[in-house]
Amino acid sequence: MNKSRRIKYDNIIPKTFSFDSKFIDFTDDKKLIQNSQVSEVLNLGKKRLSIFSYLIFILMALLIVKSFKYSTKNYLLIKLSENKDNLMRGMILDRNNNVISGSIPVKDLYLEPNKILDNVNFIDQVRLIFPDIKIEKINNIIKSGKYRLLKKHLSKTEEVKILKLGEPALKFQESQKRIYPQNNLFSQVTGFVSKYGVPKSKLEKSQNQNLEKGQNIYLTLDAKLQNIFYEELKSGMEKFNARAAAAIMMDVNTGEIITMLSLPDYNPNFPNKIKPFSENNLITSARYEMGSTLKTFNVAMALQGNISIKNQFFDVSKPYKLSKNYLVHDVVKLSNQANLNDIFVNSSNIGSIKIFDEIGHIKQKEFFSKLKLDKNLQIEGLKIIRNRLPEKWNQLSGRSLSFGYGASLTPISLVSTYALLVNGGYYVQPKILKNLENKKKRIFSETLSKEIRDLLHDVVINGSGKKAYVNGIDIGGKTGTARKTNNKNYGDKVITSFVGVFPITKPKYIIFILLDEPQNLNSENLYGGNTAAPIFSRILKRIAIDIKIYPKKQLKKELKITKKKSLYNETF
Amino acid sequence: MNSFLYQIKLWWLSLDRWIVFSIILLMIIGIFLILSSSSIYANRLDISENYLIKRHLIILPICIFIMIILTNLSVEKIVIFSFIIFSVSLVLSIIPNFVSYEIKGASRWISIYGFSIQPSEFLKPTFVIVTATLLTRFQKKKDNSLKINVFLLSLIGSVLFFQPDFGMFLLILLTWFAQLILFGVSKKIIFLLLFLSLIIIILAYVTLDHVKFRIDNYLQPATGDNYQIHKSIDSFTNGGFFGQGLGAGEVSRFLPDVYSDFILSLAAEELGLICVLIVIILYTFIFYRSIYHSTRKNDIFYFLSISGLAIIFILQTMINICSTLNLIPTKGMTLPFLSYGGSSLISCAILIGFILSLSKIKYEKV
Repeated sequence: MNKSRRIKYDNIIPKTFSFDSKFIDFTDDKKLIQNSQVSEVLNLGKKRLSIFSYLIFILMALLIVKSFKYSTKNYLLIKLSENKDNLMRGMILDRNNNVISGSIPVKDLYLEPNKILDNVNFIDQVRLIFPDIKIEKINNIIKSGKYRLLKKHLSKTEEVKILKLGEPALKFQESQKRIYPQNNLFSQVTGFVSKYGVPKSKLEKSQNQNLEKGQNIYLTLDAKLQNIFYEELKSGMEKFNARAAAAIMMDVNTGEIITMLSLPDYNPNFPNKIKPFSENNLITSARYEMGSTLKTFNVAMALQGNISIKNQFFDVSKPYKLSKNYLVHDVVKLSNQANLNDIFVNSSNIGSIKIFDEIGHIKQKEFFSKLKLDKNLQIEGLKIIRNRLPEKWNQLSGRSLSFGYGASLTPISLVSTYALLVNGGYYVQPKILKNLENKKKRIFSETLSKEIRDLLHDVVINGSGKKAYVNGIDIGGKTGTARKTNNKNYGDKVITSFVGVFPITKPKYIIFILLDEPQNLNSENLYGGNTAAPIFSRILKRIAIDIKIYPKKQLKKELKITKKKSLYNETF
Repeated sequence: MNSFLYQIKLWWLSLDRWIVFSIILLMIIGIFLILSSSSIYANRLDISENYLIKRHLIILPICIFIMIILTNLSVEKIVIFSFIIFSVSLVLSIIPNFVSYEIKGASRWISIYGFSIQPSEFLKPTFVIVTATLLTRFQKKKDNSLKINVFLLSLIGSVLFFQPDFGMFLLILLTWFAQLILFGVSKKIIFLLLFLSLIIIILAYVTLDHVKFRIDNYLQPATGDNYQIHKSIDSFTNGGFFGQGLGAGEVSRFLPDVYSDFILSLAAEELGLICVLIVIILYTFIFYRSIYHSTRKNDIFYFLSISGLAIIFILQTMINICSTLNLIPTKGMTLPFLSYGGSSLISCAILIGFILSLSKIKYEKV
């Protein structure tokens, strides 16, 4: 019996598709494939087909119900808003109590058809005040005879005009309108609220419970600095004709996010006009292969494991053969006697691999989990996507990771990891809501942090980050240039970035700038050092006074100038 | 009476007029929707305002012509025709794998005289006929036909897997599966196949990045950009019962594929829930008419082929509507006779042509 069954299965799924193989004419006792009687086959088939058609009927009915539900949502919402008592929605404020998002009381106009006095001219009179309301809409409400919403959010002049009309059928009802006085500036952080008062995304949605009760939300963001970032990043993005750009500034000791910006953006005052791909906050919900900025982690790993590696020399004069058809080159050619300092400052890819080979991929994996890059960063109020680290963590993927490829990180997790490395070795939980407590935990020693700071300082003084230099402020930084993948090949398009920490002797702030697909220059000249670093430098020059980081010598002079008014209010 | 006119009358009486009228109604709604979306598309891509509607109006007569031709063919010729079209389009859909020509990250299209064709679209209706033929032959002769059928399916699978066009493959696989179930295989084999297709879905999730992205996006709406879906549902809400009027849509105009994948949202916003209901009911009606015809003749080939065609038709529709309503991840599948898209329209015309041709009622001289 067993044998015959085996033969049957062989017949259905043949191991090879040779058509001349002998066919075994089986007697289908168990009716495994099908009955040989045509009528019985058809009867069984019809039975099954009827089951199918019932299923499909149910599914179609479900679809109809679903679309019915979505289509009638508006009618339901209006009823809901009628019942709600009119508690003002809470505001969202920045660290200096500037309003980022607030509600103002407005009035909605309702129509009660059976109280219309002047039946003949009513529609014309209403249309004189609101030319954009369609005649059909008014007619429909009149026909239905029910108390219905005519126009949301009246302006003061419209209100006066309605009052002058003196039509008892038109009634006002208290309502509120969400406005964003800073327009585009915080769109990626706050999200927006729809016309009918439904929070649609980001903070407005995640903090809806508190906002609905009328509680204000205080953020760590600074509107003034955010505006300076916005201006400089936007001009930089236009100069290099980049596809997108992002910037973030964080306090390395407390984890407070001071500015967070992502372009392209939108104006939350007009949710109808949002264009595709402008809704995403690239700082939290985009992953990038960062390139050279990850070399800092590689060096930190080497220094943590073996401090004597500083005195070792590496031969980096020849290209490194990473795989069969992939050679790793360097931009700045170094001699065959390069130490760790030279390799890091000149951002040598070959050197990074050589340093990595001293450590190995097992310790690398441990180190990355020590940096908490493998965990999903949780910040209250923000939704952050997970980093993507190599799935198969072997020597090869470790080598690519050593110079920044093979792992995609969110900008915010990169910044928080840098903060951990430079602030003396403390892990600080980044935060955007002001009233949260600081969580601090020591992970590395102060000496390691000092080594890293010296190296980063050297990059700005002697290495690839020269253009980030600001006279009088000690800056440490690292540039990054990564080729973008396109169907598993690395093309010509690049992502350039710059991480800057200052003052490097006792770090206080960290700034990260990222440009997605910058163009306009010759393709040879597109590096983080000449695209993102100058933007950093310009921003720092403008914000230095506000954040009280003064150039050493001019300290006293500048203190007097601080009272000078900022340009902030003129920009919008 | 003039014999030619008489023949036309006989031909007209032999067709299922219910299906014909439904299709014509769908085409008319489609013309209005494409007319509306063509201005949106023109604004976005900076081309002539009538570009889409012109192309659409050129393709529709071709579709009708194809349907008329197909309804005049005998069953044997239908089978031969579908075998030829099937093999040609299988060969053609291998080409884009080598000649890189990408639209939205997938290389499904080949370009002939300025018209870009998606050959894999034509696999859909023809493979149903091929499967029905082979299964019927297997039932009669118990020869290699079933093996050949499985082999062809795996060939299609491997071709579509590399394009990548996972949605289309899923559609073909599901339909083949349905046909096999209707063929009367035992429950054991059904469970085996269910298990296998589960493995394929998991494999696709692991290996194909865009499938993974879409499924992740669906499961965790907070992380990715669910921009399309939000807008799609909003346009239903904005439309209400009777819609904003043709060309007056505000939300759906910002949808990326409003003229093909998301055409139903446009219909919902501009023509209202009533139009959506009419469209869904028409599709369901066509399906049940075809099912009725498949059981009318007591012949396995007719049964398998017509029911298979009806199933692939309704599955494609359901997948599109479901992804518009955010019930499943977006698939990149068109709505038959409403969406713009030459290959898909012609493929749908072939499909309905097959159904009409196979369900003909023969009239003797009265």
